[in-house]
Amino acid sequence: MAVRSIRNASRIAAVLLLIVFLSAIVACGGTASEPAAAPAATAAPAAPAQASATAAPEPTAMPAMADEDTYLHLAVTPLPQDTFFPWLATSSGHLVFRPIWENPTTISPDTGVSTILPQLAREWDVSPDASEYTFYLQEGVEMHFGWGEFTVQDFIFTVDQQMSDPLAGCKGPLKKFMGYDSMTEMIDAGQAEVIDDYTLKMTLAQPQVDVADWWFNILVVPCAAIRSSAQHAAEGDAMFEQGPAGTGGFQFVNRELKEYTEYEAVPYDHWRVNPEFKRMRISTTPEDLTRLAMLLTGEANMVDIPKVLHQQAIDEGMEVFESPLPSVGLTIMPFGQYELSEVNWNPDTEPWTAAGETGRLVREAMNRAINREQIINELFKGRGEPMYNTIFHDTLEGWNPRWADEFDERYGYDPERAKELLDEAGFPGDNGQNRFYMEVWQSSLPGLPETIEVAQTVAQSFQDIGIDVKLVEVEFARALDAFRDQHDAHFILPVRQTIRQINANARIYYYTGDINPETGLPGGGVAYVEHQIYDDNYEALLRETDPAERHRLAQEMGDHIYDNYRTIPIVNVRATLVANPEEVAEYKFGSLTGVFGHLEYAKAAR
Amino acid sequence: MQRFIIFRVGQAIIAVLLVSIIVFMLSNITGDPTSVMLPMGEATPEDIAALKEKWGLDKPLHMRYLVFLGNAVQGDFGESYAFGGQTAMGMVMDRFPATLQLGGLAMVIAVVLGVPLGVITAARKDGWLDYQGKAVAFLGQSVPSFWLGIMLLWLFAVQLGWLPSSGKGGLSHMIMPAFTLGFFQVAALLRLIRSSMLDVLDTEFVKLARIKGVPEWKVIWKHCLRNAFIAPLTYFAIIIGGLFTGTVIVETVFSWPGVGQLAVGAVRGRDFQVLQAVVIIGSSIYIFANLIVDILYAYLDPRIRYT
Repeated sequence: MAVRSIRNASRIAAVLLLIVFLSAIVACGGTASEPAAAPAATAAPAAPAQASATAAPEPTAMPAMADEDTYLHLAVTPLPQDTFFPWLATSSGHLVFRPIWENPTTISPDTGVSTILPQLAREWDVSPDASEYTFYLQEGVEMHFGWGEFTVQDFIFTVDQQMSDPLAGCKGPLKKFMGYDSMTEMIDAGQAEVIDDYTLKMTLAQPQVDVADWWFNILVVPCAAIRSSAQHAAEGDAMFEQGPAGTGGFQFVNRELKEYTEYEAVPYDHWRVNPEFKRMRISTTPEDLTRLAMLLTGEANMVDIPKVLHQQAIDEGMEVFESPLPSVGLTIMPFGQYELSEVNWNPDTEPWTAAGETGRLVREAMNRAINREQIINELFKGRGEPMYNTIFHDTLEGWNPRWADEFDERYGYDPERAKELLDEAGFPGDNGQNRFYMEVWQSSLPGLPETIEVAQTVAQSFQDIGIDVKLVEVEFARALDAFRDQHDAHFILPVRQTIRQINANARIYYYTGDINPETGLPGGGVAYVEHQIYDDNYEALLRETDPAERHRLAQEMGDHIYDNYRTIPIVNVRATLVANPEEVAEYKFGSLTGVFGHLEYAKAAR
Repeated sequence: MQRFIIFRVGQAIIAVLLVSIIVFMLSNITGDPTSVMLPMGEATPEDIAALKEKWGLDKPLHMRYLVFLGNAVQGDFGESYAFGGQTAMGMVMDRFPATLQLGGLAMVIAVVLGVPLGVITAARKDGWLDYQGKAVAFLGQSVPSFWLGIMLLWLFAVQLGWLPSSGKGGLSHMIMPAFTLGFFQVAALLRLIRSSMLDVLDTEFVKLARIKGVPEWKVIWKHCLRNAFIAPLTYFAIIIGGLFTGTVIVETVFSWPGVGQLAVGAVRGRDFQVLQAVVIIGSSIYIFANLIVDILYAYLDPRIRYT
């Protein structure tokens, strides 16, 4: 018995030793070196097979890493979609592409989308009816790694590629105004013409005023982030992993999906700006506290952290950089106001969706139940400004100053008045309780972590005025299914609102469009809220080029939304980054929904 | 023995199959991935339909499962929805070495700390060391790993500056995440070894050894420890599984680019293909580790084969 026991024990000990030994080998084997050391883009291929019209020189090898002192390391939350392929990336996902690519047009951090500035298109002409565009492109702009000069061929290639996949965000809208599946098809059909290497004329299938402003803008949407057609002809899609060439102030060095992307300043005089930081890395780090730790330990010198952590960073000598304009807003959408299409419209059981006076009174009550000041001060730590009308802003066309002037009087926090309004609307309930049932959905939104608390506060506020509220926690994707795919949303949901041009947001928020005969669903945008005025004015805005008339159309839409309490506007928030002032002296950025632009203008402290 | 192995392998295959059904069904009933993938307000109904057809989402659920299963047994979990051009299996395999490194070091930490502490606390029962050991066990099993990770990060990276806060690099990058991952297992092993040692210390052959004048260290570390190891052996399968699944939190806190972080991203982005690959590969490892331990156990203790 003893002998057997010892034999068994020897076997066990051997097995255990083997496990520990293997674990040690696994743990210590192949410990990676710092990933920063691998410049993948350097090995440039032979001269391009299909060069652009200007002669492309032999691609040059990438220079050695520059001055260590000017290294910018930005750590941000993980991108919603991470991909090597730009046409598959969302606007937020384009954060990592923006330093290397430029678009035909751009915006300034100070004026935002209200002023569209030239970038790779030095100017453009639009016909009075907004159906013909002529773009005049910059000359003498170098592509990275020696892939020749930027020409109209790169522009055509970029748009074609953006429209090549149903997953590409640009395919639908570009096709709508271009009338073709690609720019090349448009040219073949004679609807677009390459005048010379730097001039392109397009005749649109339907007039649209915002082509240059919106669809070809660097910070707004990534539909025309110009890459090299010559490089693609030589390398195919592999170029996006190996080192895509663009025209930006930074060029690609290396990328690990979901981890980081590395860049370096271009080794020549850039046509627009020579970045002060000679090397740059954008890391994606999921945990907020880890990003703060990275900043405090010097592993990163600029990070994106929630506002509640700002003070801790400031106490340690860090500095908060704020975007000059709000980058994102939070609005509460009372979904189900489908009164135009009447698809899935239930005004009897969901009184906030009712047309006419009943719906207006209920929605006014809901607006007056919410203490916005408290939300801004406590949940956003005072770093927000009131939103007066959903999708509108005083920097955008259509703004009506009375919305701000009358806001306290018409939307101000007054729960007693809210109860009276519900009584007037015909919902007295049982002694002011259980007036009607409502679901408030809460879900986390990237770039706006306060959304959950806002939903909870709103639910409590509605409960306080006698509405029977159920708070439901969902994945945002489930809400997306309901309001986008099925047009069947019947809840109250905080949604993130990017401050963009009125056309763009009106299409998503308020445009119903024709009913699709196959699906039975509206064919417009997402149409959170429906009304004939919104459809008429949106369609007119697409064609109208006279600024005064555009302003009137947008304002008429805004007035109707405001006066009928169609939404519950809450707060506009400026984007913030926290930086080590000993390394980053200044960074003035334009930001839309968590996208930080203008990194090439960041100033080094030493 | 052969019959026993065949029986256990059969059970393992059924378990993997059941996991695949559960994972597939659960991930699919959470909604339609096209809602997340396609650009809001910009995709046309035709785009949505084309994408559903491309990904096979237009087919009934059971048909999709059968196609999925057929491909999965060949190691093909499809193309990632969220990472254009990447296969789900390729993505998991790319990140697997990082997770394996972390898990491997965590296991070394668990064994190197857990086993001696278990022996010492048993040998010094009710003494000062025993109370300290119990405190370690209590903390190890009750402190959440995300909290422990953040505390370690704050102390050793921010305050003391001894270790890097995050990312993958040399051994110094692995210390905090591996310790966070292994600390729970240290506590578990400590308790198991201690309990098992106490049983052995109370047996007749130990008393006999002591009466015969065998040195105490030899009694404890040679005779008792060998016999006390059988029970904890089973636990190693659980440790292996725990180290794999535990990386979800630890990799997120320390931004370690492994399978755990990939899984979190896949859940957020409804990247079903990647999620299914992660869960099925993870649970297969767990089941396989259990199978190996079952067989080892039967080999070490033949009575197991007949029960």
